[in-house]
Amino acid sequence: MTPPDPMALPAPAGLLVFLFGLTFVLHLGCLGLLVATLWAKAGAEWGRQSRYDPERLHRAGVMGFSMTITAGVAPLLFVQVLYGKYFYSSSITIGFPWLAIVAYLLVGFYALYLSRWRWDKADGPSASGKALLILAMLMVFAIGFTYSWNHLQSLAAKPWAHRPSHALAARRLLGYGGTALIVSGAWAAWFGQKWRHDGSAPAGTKWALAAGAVLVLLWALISDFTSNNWGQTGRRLQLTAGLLSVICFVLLWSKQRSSEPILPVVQWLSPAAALAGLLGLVFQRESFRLEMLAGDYNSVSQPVRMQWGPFLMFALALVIGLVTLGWMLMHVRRTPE
Amino acid sequence: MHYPIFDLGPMGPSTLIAIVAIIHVVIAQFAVGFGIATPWLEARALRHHDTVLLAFLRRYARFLILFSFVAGAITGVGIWFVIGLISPETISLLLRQFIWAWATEWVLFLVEIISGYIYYFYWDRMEPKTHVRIGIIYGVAAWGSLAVINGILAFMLTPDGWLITRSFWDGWLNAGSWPSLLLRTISSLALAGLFIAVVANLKPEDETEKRRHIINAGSIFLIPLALMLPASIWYFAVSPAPATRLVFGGSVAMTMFLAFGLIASTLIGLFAYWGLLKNRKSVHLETALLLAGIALIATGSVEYVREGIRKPFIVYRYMYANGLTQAEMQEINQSGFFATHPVIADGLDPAQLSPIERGRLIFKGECGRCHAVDGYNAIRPLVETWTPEMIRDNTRQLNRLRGFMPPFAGTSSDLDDLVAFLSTLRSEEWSAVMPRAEIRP
Repeated sequence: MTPPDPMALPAPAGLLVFLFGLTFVLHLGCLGLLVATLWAKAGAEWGRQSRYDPERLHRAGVMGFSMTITAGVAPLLFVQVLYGKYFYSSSITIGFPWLAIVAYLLVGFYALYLSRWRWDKADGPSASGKALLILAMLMVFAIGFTYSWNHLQSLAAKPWAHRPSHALAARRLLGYGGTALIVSGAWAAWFGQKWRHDGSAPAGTKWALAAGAVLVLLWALISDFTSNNWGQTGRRLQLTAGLLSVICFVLLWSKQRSSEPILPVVQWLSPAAALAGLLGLVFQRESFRLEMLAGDYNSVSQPVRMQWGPFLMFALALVIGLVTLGWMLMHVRRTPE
Repeated sequence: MHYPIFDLGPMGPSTLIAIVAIIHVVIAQFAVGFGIATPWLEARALRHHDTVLLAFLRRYARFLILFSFVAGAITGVGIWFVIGLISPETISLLLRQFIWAWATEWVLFLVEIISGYIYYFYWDRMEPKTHVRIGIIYGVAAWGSLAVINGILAFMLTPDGWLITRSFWDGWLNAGSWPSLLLRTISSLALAGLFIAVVANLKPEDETEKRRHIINAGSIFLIPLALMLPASIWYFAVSPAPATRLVFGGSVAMTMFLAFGLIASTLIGLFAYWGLLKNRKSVHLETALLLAGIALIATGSVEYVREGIRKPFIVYRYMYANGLTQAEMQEINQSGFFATHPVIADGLDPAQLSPIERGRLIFKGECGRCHAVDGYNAIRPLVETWTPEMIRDNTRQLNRLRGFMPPFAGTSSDLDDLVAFLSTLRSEEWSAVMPRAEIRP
C-alpha cells in the first residue's frame, strides 16, 4: 500500500492563512515597538533633553528587538507550509543577502545594547552612542528591506527567473514604512501616557503618525490592491489607518505643546489606526500573492491531511501559554517601580 | 530537484550548517540549563539566606540576555535560513509533517523569552517567591521547547512507524527521542554548571572563598555528565543498525568523535564530583574556560556524530542526503535526470548541451548539497587520480562502495554525462608523478 503523501497540508489552508495573518500582525506590532524606541532614543541622543527614563527606553528597545524576532518565527513557519515552493526558491535566488539577515540581527541587537552602555558611560549623548544607534537603525532597515525583497521575489511561478520591478519594491517599502511609523506612533503615545509623570505626548509622536499617514495614504492610492474582495478590504483598512492617524496628528497639533497631557482620544485612536494599518497590510499582501500566483498554485485546492491531535496540543499550549503570560504580567503590574 | 541550488563555493554547504548548528546547539542548551539551574539555586539561596549566591545569580542572569536570548534566538533563525537554502526539501518535509509541534514550540519560546526578561529585569523588585516561580516558568518553557524540537530532530534518524503510517505521533514520539532528550538535558545542565564556573571568575575583586562557594554550588549540575555513557548506549541501542555500525568502527572519524565526546563528558563529570563537590576545590578562570572549551568541543563532536550517522539519508530510509526521496530516485532511474524537469535546468534544452555541461548540472543536482568542486568536502581530490572507467564504475555502485553515500540516480546516459564532467577534474600531473603499475603475468 502506498503511504499517504506527507507533503499534504497539515490543516485547511484557511486556518493556516488565519494563523499566518494573526502572528504576522503580532510580529509587526513588536517591530513597531522597536521602531518607536529607536526614534525615541534618537530624540534623546540628538535632542536637547530626553524626557524618557533611559532605563525604561532601553528595556523596551531590547525587549522589542527580541520580541520582533520571536514573534517573527511563527509567520515564517506558516508561510513555509503554505508557500514553501516559492519561499525556498526565492530565498536561494537571493542567496547571501538573504543569509546576511542573521548578521544584521546580531549587529543590530548588540549595537542597540551598546548604545545604552555608552549612554551610561558618557552620562548622556555621545558620538559613539549616536553611531551605535545609527548602526542599529540601519540594520533594522536592512532586515525589512531584505524580507520585502524575498516576498516580492517569491511572487512568481518561477522565483529564480523573476526580477521584481523597482517600482513595485518602492511601493512595498512605502506600505511597510508607513505602517511601521503609525504603529510606532501608537506605541509612543502609550509610552507617554504610562511612563511620563505629566502624561504628555513624547516629542515626535505626532510627526511619526503624520509621516506614517502620508506614506500609507500614498501607498493605498497608487498601489495595485487587486480587484478581489480581500484586496479591496485591505485598501479600505489602509485608508482608515491613514485617516485615523491624520486625526491623531491634528488633535496633537492643536494642543501645540507636546508637554501637555495626551488626549485620551489619541491614546485610543492611534492603536486603532495601527491595528487597521497592520490588518490592511496583511490583507493586501495575501490578496496580491493570490493574484500573482493564480494559475500556478492555489493553497485552497491543495490536498489536506488534518492533524487534529497535534493541532489540539498546539491549542492547549497556546491557552496555557497565554494564561501564564497573563499571570506574569499581572505580577509585573503589581510590582512597584 | 524542485529548487535551485545555493552555491557556496569552496566553503561547501556542510561547513556552513555545521558552524551555525553547533553554535546554536551550545547556546540553546545553555539557555535550557540556565532555566533549570538558576531558579533552583535561587530558591536554595533564599532558603539559606545566601547573599553571596544571590548576588552572583543576578550577575549570571545577565548572560542569559546578552548571550543566550540574542545569539540563541538569532542562530536559531540562522539554522532555518541555512537549511532552507541548502536543503529545502528537508525543512519543507519537517515543517509540513510537524507544523503543530513547531507551533507549540513557538508558544513555549514566547513564554520563555518573556519570562526570561521579567526574571532578569525584575530581580530584587518582585516578591522573592514570585520571582522564583517566574524562573521556574522560564525553565519549564525552555526545557519544553527543547523536548519538542528534540522529537523532530530524533525523527530524522529513527522515523520508525512513520515510514508506514505517516502519523505525526509515530514520527514525533519515535524511539530515539527519549534517549536523545536525556542526553540533551544532561548536556544542558552541564553547560549551565560550567558557565557558572566561568562567570564566577569574571569578577576579580570577589574573594577566593566566595568564588569557591559559587562554583561548588553550581558543580552539582555537572554530575549528570557521568550518565552520558549509559544514555549514549541507550541511544545507539534504538538507532538503526547501519548507523550504529558506522559509529562502532564503520567510520573512524565517527568513532573518534564519539569517543572524544563521551570520554571528555565523563571526565568532567567525575572531576565535578571528586574535585568540586566532595573535596570542595575551586577552579580559576583559565581552568573554567578550559573545561567549558572541552565541553563545547564535546558537544560539537556528538552533534557531528548525530548528523553523520544518518548518512546516506537525511530522513532515514525516506529521503537521501541530496534531498531525493526513494520514490523520486526510482522515477529518475526510469525516466532520466532531465525528464523530471529539475529547476537547475529550467529554460535549457538538454539535447543542445554538451555531455560535460549536462554532467555539470547532474553533479550540481545530485551531489551539490554536500560536495563542492574545490574546497571543503571537494570532489576534485577524490576523482583526480581516477581514470574515466574508475569514475564510471565507482559512481554506478557508489552506495555499495561507500555506505554513507546515496546511490547514483539516473539512466546510463546520465551516468555518461556525469563521468564526462568528472573526468574534466582529473589531473594530468598525477599521471606523470605516479606511473601505471606494471602488471606481471
